[in-house]
Amino acid sequence: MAMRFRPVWIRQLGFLIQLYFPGNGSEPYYENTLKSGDILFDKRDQKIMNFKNLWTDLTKGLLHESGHEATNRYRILRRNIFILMILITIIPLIIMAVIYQHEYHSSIKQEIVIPLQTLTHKTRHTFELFFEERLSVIRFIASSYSFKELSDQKTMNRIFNVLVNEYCCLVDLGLINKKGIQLSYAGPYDFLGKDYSEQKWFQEVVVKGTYISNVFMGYRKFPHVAVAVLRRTEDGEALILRATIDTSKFDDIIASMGLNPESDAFLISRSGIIQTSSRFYGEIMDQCPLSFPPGNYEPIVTEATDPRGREILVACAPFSSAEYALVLVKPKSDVLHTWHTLRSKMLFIFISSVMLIILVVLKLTDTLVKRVKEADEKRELAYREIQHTHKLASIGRLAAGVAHEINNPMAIINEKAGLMKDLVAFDDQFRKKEKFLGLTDSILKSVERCRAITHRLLGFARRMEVQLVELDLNELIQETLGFLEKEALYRNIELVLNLADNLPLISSDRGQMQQVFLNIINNALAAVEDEGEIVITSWEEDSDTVGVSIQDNGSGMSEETLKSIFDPFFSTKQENGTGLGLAITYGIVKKMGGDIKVKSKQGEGSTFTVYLPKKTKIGPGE
Amino acid sequence: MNKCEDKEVAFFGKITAGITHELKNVLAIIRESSGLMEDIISISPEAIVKYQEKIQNSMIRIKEQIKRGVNLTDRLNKFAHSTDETIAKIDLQETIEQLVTLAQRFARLKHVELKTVPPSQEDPPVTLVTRHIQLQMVLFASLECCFTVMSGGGEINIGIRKLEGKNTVHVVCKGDLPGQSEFSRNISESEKWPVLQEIADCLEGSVDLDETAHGIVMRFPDEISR
Amino acid sequence: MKNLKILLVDDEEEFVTTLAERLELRGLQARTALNGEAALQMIEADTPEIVILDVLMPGIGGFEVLRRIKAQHPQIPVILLTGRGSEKEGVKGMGLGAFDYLMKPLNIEELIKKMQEAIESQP
Repeated sequence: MAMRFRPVWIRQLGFLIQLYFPGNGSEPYYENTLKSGDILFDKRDQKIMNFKNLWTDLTKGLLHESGHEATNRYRILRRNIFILMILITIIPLIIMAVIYQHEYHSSIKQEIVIPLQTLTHKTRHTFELFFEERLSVIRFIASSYSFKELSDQKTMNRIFNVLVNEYCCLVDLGLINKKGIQLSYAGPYDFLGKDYSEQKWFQEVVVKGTYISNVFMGYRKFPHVAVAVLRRTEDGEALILRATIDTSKFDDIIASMGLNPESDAFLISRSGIIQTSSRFYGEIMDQCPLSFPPGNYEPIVTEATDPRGREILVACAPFSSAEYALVLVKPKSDVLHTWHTLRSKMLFIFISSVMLIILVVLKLTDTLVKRVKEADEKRELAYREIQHTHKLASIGRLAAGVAHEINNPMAIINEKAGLMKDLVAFDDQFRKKEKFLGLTDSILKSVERCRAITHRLLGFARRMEVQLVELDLNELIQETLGFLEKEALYRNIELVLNLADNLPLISSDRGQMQQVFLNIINNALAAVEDEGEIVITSWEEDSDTVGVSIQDNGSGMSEETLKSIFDPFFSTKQENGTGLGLAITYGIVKKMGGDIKVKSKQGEGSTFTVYLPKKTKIGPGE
Repeated sequence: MNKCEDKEVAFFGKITAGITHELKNVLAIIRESSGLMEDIISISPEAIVKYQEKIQNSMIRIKEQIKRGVNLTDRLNKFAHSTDETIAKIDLQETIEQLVTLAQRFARLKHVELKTVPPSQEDPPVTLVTRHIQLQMVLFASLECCFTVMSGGGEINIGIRKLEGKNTVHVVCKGDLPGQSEFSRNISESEKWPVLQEIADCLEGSVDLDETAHGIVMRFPDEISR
Repeated sequence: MKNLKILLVDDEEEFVTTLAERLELRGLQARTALNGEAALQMIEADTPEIVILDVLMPGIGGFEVLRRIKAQHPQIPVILLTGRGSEKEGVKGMGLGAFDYLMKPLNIEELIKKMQEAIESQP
């Protein structure tokens, strides 16, 4: 698989999949190093271990830099912080907005629905009262007068005239007997003698005792409603008094609802025929286009779309006393006007908040990452400065050591030459030929010694420019030891070298490697007592790595000390020592792509082991 | 970070290498002298008498070279210790004298003689708190600048003068030189001039062409900001 | 000065034997010891009248030898030999009881003069 070219997260997703769905033939990234004979882990432990590896890999990719990816690190950091902050701020905002929207919607709806219900309820009550009132007058008349009186036309007329004056909307009044024949009639029509026995209303009033009709088109094509009551007299006569009312009062009642021009209210019959004038939904006697849920007595508010395409709220309140229902229609946009204003306000606030948040987060993230970058750069700079100072100081110390070392052989030459002079002065004969030869020979030996010392320094001085070279670690170690041998000699410290033959060369920076080994060996010399021993071993660790260990039999370190040994400014030396030597050494080795480990036991000694890659990962000029 | 720190190690290496070369020369002479004596002595006891003078000269030479070698190692030691502290209290005259000693060999190659101007007795010694290595670097760079424009050789005098301000170092060139304005122009066009300015900058000092004499004037603050 | 018993202590054999020879040519007998332990043994066996002592030696080191000499034979003057640029060591040595110090490479005339001073300063 060309894994290299896929972005990190896809690869990691792939691992996760492979982890839980193994066995598709391709090698999992985390090698299953268990062989069939191993009984140390079961599959689950293996998965846990693989998961741990996966987690380290994930976080390593996200949080740690690794060479060339360092430059992307800030971009990734910026992106991650931005996303995180946006999510943290906007998600609650969205949740809040959604919740508020929901709550408001339902509460507003409530506030709209309830008044509608109330209005409908009240108006229906008014209608029912109206009907009841009409019925009670008719009932009163039916009760107060005898059958005989009512069947008298003159009486009927008289009653009618009184009623008309006192009583609104009356159109006609008449008496009908139990056979359904109109016996008397006062009114505009000519119903005298009419037979209603076949008519439904008659059958109903006979059974129920009262009757209220739906609207019908009557005299001069105005809408009318008929009401009738039945009274059974003592002598078995059925007295049916019937009156017709016009619906002008209906309109008044409806008008009193005080609806705005977009709304509509009207009565309908049980079968949905419009009973009073409707603004939008048809003429009287038309079928109402709206549909209504099967009635309870309580007014129900439903949402619907009317034939004109408007979103409407419909309140429907069926009458209990008559076969009517009061319908109230309010357009949603009307009632929900406040809701819509609120909603658009909320949307505006939401959008501007989001934009503001994004702007602020962008700026903040930018500043934050810039600060982080600056801090990192400052730290890097400070580290480099310290490293430089440390390097220069150790170079200085080496050179001073050399100056010191040359002293002895020069003192010897001095004495030898002095002795020669003395011999010449004290003995004219020059008999000491062999003696002289011995002396000149000594001089030459000392000169050679000085030469070796200065040669070492010269080589060191010459190579002070930073460069990436093929290094022979054995040779470098021996050169470094050359500078420190005298001290070891003075203190009777034995230096044992187990340097591997044919140790592969490593590509590295000579100056820095010198610094590393100078530091570690110096530490070993400091740790070890006089007459102690330091063993330096080098070997090829694997195909990519070379290892060097420096072991001393000094006082060793406690667990505590071991933990902090590479920390900056940690020092076990009371007086001198900046505490930076090992920290810098650690830094150099790590930067080279290598590793450094310590093992120590108090009273037995310490071993520092340095692993170096054959091919270094950094560039020159560090 | 002081941007001249990159050059410090190279400078250290250059000077150290110079001293070491000289030491090698010292050793070479000792070896030759000793070898000569050996040769003479090997011939016969009589030869010793015959070439007595040669033997004596050899011994004198060896003694002289030892003295010279000791001087060199003293110088190396002092120089090596200038890395002990990045910023230190420095006696300017002493530093100039030491640097001149270190630079002699480079000057010799260019047929230039270096001389230090002794300080006047009345003036107190000038002490600077600054970067020791870089101070030596700037003095050395000023000499190098002069070397490049004194192709015929000559003499350079370097010293502290109290005329203009406190910490002024004058580098004055003598010899078969063109007119002052042309000489100054040559200096400012030499390849070492921008390097010199950069190091003076790192030390928070300044370097200018001398308007009255053939040479360079350098000024340094009493104390460098850390 | 002629019969002065001198003990030279220095780990550089070539140096110390040549110096002894030169002193001998000048009529001064000097024994040599190549390290601190040998020096102390020789002092016990046959007490010298003056000790010329190198400070930088392996083993028990110059300063320790100085301490012990001053502890057991305080009357013996000790002249220290130091490396160059090591005034500190010389001063330290004098603090421990050395008469004076000289820097290597030596000037033999100077050494003899110093030894004379040391002997004369003895009560």
